[in-house]
Amino acid sequence: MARAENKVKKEDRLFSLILALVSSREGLTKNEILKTVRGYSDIYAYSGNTALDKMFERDKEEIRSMGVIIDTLELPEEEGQTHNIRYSISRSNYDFPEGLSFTSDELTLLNVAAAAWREASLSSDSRHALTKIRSLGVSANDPLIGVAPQIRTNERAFEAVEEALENELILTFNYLKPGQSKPQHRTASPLAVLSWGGLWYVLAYDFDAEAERTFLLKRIVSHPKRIPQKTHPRPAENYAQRLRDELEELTRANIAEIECVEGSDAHLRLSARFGSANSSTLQFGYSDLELLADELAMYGSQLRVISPPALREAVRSRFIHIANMHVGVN
Amino acid sequence: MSVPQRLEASDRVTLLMSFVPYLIDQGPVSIDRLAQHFSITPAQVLELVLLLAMSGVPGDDGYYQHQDLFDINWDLLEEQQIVELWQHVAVEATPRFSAREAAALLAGLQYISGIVPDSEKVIVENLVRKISLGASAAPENLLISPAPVPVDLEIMRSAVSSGNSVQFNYQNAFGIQAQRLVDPLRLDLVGESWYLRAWCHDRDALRTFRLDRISELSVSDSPFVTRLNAEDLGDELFEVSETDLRVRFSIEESALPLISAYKPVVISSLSQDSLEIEVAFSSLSSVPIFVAHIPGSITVLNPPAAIEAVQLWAKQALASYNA
Repeated sequence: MARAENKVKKEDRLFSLILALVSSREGLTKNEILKTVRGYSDIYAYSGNTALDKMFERDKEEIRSMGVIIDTLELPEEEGQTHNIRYSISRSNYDFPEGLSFTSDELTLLNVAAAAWREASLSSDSRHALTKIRSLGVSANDPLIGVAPQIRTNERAFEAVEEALENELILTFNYLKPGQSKPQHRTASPLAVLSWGGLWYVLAYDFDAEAERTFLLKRIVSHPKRIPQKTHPRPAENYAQRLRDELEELTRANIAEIECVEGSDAHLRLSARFGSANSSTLQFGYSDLELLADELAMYGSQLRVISPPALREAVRSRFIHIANMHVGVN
Repeated sequence: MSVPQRLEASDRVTLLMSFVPYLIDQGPVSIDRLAQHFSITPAQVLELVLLLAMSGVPGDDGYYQHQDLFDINWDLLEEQQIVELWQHVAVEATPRFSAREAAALLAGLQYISGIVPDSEKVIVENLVRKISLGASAAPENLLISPAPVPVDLEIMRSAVSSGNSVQFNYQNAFGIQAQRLVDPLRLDLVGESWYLRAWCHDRDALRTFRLDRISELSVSDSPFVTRLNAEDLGDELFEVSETDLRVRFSIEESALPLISAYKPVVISSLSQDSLEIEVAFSSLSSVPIFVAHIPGSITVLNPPAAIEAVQLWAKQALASYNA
């Protein structure tokens, strides 16, 4: 494999490319870039340019992912002649809006917000965003009490889904539907990712169903794979907000009633969450019966489901299942 | 944040782009201050500054001319470790956020917004607007609903600012109540659950409390007794001690991420999809709750006492339905 041997470090090359594209008024053709910009030019003469070409394509992507938009310019009479495409970065796209600033209190809060990703996929993205805010000169205050948030995701699936979300990709994966024992193979393009009530949901266009479907991230049990070369362009919309509205509507429509053992952990925690009833009977809405059954089962004999009957049965069957899997050893 | 981080190329480019407006705006700045401000080490700052000082725009012939390069006050750098930008080219402003960077900040902000008192919620709204404005493309469709905070954080804040401990009634997982006097150090939000990390006066040790098991929270008359602060704490909510019970389970591999909070240790692979893991518990009574986490995906293998505990637990739970 032809590989560009390069002594110039990658950050040097990327930064040089950004500077060259910002400063050029009419834009630069790919050939001009490869011939003159540091990191490309020093290997231009000695190597076949296929590897260099590929490197340039990857670099463009990487620069875009840092928030720097590269414009392409093609003269009408030169349409189709890719070697004549001119690349440039406009200052109006690059520059942070004039007058937009952050206070110390705001940065203090954003430091906490960014820290939430520290163990998760978007940690470098949130760190980069903070670096940019700090470049505006603002410093954070010392918070009165430290806050250490930690977003939890099913990392393997989250990263693939998030990348597909950003690039409108189509994924295939195995999905284990709640209440079923065998996973199904699905083909879908994510529209939104939402964490709601402690669970991650993915709204996606499902190609088998030919309709939008909601998936639970944790029930994507295989490593999602993208379908090469294919994308699923979609109209701009606040899909995440729409998904949340739908879940909230479901929650209003489905009501569960449970009875807690007075003073138990279940009683304390569930009444802290669903508004304090002084009685041991609690009523609250839910969006998905199987998910609620999973959660209620954890409290064991501390509570009893009164209604609906299907929820009662779902919780009961979990106990039967656990009991059967743990037959005493004698 | 204080742990030195390995910098990737994208980290370095972002820092280079960010140094430019900062140096233009601030004038001469010491290496140490740059390091502190951008949360990196002085050595990393120096490396980046040297790269910045050699960067620029190529001429038509492919050569970089002096007037087209960044330049710094080299004497000041060498003698006093102070960075002063003498000349900059091409860029001078802060770069915009990418769609993903903006989405990461926005989602993190929504997630933690429970710590902002209702009276100051306008800060969050302003930030959402500003971050969206500062992005070069529309932020991604990524949303995290706030995790509600079950206690009044103002009580916690006023305690800390006056240097006094807090007292509260704490009911543990088994329904046993006790009055606690603690120095609050840090609030941890893991998934949807809030925890208080605190120095417990009665136990004379660090303890972790679930906020939804706390009631009757108030500021006490006792001053703080610990010298520890938030930075001294690790991310482990519960420390594993020698006396802890170690239980082996078989678990479906796909379910492993769901129990990461329990810090499972993978012992071996049992089949293509299932693993043998070990988890430490402070008592046998915590084992059934763990098993019920993902019913059907976890089975106790060992010790027999744990298997019996789970069976008994499930039977007791069933009894209330069969009655």
